Amino acid sequence: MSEVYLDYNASAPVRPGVRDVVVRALEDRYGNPSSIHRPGHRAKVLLESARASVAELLGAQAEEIVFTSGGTESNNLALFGTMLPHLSGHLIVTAVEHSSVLQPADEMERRGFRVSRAAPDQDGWVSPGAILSQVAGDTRLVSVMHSNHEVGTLQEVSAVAAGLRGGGALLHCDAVQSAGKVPLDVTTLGADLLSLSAHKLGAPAGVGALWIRRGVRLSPLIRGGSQETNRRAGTQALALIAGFGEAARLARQELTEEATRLLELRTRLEENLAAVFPQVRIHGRSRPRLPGTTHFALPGLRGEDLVTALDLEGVAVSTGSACTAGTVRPSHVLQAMGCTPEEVECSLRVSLGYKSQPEDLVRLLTALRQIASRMVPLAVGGD
Amino acid sequence: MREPVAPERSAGRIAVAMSGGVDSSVAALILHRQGESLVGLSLQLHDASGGESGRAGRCCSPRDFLDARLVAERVGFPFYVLNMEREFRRSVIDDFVREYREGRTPIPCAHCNTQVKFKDLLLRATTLGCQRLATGHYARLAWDPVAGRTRLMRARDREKDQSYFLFGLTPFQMDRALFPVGDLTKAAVRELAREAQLGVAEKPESMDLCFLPEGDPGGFLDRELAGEGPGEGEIVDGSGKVLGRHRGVHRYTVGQRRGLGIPGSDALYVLEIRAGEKRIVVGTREDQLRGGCHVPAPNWIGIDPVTKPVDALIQIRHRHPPAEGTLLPDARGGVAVRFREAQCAVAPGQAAVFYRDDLLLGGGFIHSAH
Repeated sequence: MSEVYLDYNASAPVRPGVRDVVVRALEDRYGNPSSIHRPGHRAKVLLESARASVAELLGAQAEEIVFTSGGTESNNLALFGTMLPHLSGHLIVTAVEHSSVLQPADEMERRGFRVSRAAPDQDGWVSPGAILSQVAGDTRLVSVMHSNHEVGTLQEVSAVAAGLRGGGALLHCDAVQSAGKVPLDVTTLGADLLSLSAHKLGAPAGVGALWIRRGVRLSPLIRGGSQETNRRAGTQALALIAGFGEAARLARQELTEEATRLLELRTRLEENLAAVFPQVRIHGRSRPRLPGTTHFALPGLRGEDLVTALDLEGVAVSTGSACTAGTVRPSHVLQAMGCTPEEVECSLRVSLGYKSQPEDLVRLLTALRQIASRMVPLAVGGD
Repeated sequence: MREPVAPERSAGRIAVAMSGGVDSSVAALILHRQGESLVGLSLQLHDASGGESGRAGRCCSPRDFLDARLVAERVGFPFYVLNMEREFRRSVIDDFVREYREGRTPIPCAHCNTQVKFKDLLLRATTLGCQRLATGHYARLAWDPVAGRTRLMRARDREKDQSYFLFGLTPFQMDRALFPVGDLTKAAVRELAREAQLGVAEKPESMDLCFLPEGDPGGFLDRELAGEGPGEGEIVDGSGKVLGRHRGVHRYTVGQRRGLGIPGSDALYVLEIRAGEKRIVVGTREDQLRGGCHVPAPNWIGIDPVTKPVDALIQIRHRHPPAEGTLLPDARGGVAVRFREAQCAVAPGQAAVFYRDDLLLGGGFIHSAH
């Protein structure tokens, strides 16, 4: 039985072209990019060409890109790096951010900073007004994700940027899920910092980037070397970075076509879902969303059990909120959106990517129908 | 197993509840070798990830999940962790706290088996296409073709027998249960694990309750009952004379000797807990002997409900050597147990489980001792 992988928002399979670039880098580019000799020089050239490719995906300048260990580090660097040099101040985040934004925010609150968390509407969309109305004289940073990792809802980052213009606050945007899926252009977005992750693009995990607008000051989290223009010490993971660069190049090349294709696939999937399960509730459906992401509740059918049963049928999907032990916690995103406990518990996320084909969705629907027929409806909150 | 089987024991996947210990690992190994298609399931029953104070080495710790996962990988079957915190809280923890608060001595493992594993988990396993659930319990099931039902028997390894904790199973549940290690000694189980090179072969047993890593319910109950106001009260002897003060009835169990805090109390045992009066009655070893107990709602699984006095072996706690006695049915479906020889520490809340030789006849929670 072939495996159907429909969890691209968690991690995308490494693209064959990316794999080749990574392997070549491992074989030929063994030098330290900071070294003087020719092996070092060759490594440096590869590093900088990857940086240029990543920058190009965003319409950014190469020197504005800092490579990190991934999206989580990028978000931590953006938040701590801009807030901690101040002894006090105010941070605004949305309540639907990834935990790599929310938990640094919690930590800063413990350290005496003031934190506001803007609430979303029932589609996971946070109105710019809900964010801007919280801005105060001491607001130093606003962090708004480009699109939500669970539901896929796109946020209006440019509108937030416009509202902040002229004030003292910086704007950070977690674009980990959007990169390569929807157009991103930092020259028009209006943000000051933007986080990326390589493995969502089909490169290996373990590398990411933070775009830092020229002139924005930021204190490093990791010290001990002058790499990445003093903003992130440590020898660069060159092979991974090379793969990141190649994935960014491919993503940029295919973006328009791929976005259209995935949107069509998803639309068909959602139509079929509604036909098979009239009770289905698609989260965020009345707002613009990422093209390949759908997150829906099937009331009465526990999401965790559906994921497990689907996996036994060879179909890999997610409940949307991953957890370390391999078990599921209620999604803070769905909770913030005001979903009922049953909707939170009975939700499933399907995220498509470059390998996804119509047959995959047929497999998913067939398996879902079969599993639902043997499932005993869940009684939430006692029996 | 080797006996003719109940009709439900047909083909299809089997779910194996895996704690990460050697017994459930070998249970899976045995079934796999019999050619069964398995799904390994570990249950997240309480938040043992514990943040920075991570408690390793008990069931539900990340280490145990990993151990189970590695066994599944080695033997070759799919494995998942299911979150069952809500079910565990509802069926086990809430009862545990309530029972202690009311001066009884609960058996959380019995509730976990009959409610969480063989009800909630069995139900969830059907979603995964599994009609049957295997565990690493030391107990045996045998199909009785004459009576047309599955019987529950003590394990071959009497030292390890866990049938006491399974008295609450229903015929439906027994027809879907598998206890593959029930026919083996613990030594043989470890040997099988060693041969198959399972990493858990030498893993030590967990003796404490899985949700009490400190082994002591006192602190846990203090936290759970915080906000209910002071629980202190008097410690009295049989005549009502006050001997001292106690720190809350939930900190005591019938039969307990240590920690009474009364000078020279070495020879004193808790006889009775009067939760309503916040009073603990203590006495000597002889004072705590009881000739019988009342079991209001026994579950009969080995025989039909008794309608006339029946002799049986009666076990009143996990490590209790079964006592001979008679079961006297009352008019309300309950049983008065009369021991041939008086027994110590007959604790309300514990179960009295009835056996004939190895056959588990039935059992129920002790309401009162007399």
